[in-house]
Amino acid sequence: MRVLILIPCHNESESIGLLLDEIKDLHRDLDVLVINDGSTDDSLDVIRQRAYVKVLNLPYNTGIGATVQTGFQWAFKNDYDAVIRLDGDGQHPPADIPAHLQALEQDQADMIIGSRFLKTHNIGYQSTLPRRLGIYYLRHLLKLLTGQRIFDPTSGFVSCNRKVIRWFAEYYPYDYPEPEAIQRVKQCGGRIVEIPTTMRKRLAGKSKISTSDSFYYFIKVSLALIMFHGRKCNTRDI
Amino acid sequence: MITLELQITVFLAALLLLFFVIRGIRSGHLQLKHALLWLFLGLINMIFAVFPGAALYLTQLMGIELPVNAMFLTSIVIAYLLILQLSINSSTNELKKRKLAQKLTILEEEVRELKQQMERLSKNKL
Repeated sequence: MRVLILIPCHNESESIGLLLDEIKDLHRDLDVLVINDGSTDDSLDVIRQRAYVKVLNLPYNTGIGATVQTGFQWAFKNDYDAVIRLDGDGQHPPADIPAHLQALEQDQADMIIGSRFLKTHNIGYQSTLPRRLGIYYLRHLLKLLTGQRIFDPTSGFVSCNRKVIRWFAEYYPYDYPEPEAIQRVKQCGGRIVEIPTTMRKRLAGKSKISTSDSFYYFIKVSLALIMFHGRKCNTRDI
Repeated sequence: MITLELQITVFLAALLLLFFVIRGIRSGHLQLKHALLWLFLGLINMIFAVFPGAALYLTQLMGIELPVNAMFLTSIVIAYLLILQLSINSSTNELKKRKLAQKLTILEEEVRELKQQMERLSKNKL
């Protein structure tokens, strides 16, 4: 099985290097792709120093959705069987990659979400209280709309098989895309399963989501989930 | 009632608007498909200015007190439509731009890869 580790990166020069080294230390013979989303710091240099990493370099800051989608498009074009997506800030521990690989190999689901809120596994970094409230709300909204309870609907630590790679290459939401991506997979009839993960605080740098962003997040994601409810799977970008 | 002064003002304003819109179309700065609503706005106001009876009729139809308000309302509705059209345009353009960026990025990587392969090949030949 050809597996690609996909990492979106926007101004993460302090953490991306550490993260890439950690992945290399797994000795799993995985292809690693970093999509640099118009970083203005020296992220690109840090990535290019590591010869085992493939780089896609977007010409300007396109946002997380378009960045991740570019990775899925590349993965689809290059015939990968599976993709494991991690954030560039180091919140998602590479030590949990083998668990994702195992779930993919056993075909436990089409999409596997690394979740920090599974009942058996409430340890590690749980995010701040307002965000936890937001996650609680999204969990119930998604349950209402898709019928499945996803304990960590905003997790960016996600792996997918080829079917989902294709769906995401064709259409992927923008701005805080994770809950909508879950909705899309459900609309396409995909199976989703969560496996526990222990998230860390970001390795360095600051979060990109401010309080006013959170408000926009709340409105945008709610509206999107409701408005796109019942949409067909064959939706494509314009 | 609509005063003669207002009639003249609206007429001149509409004329000016139509002048700029038509000039834009002829010079190619404004695509006809985006100009239709602007033309409509100019024409409607022209009609109101030349035939105040039309505004009067509209006033009674919509239960508005002053004919002037009916004229304003009509213009505002068309203006909102124009803004909506612009928003849709802007969204579409952003998506298209993003798509181009994605295609370019992937192509760039492929070209890089091909170049490296070619270099390796030519070195082997030498």
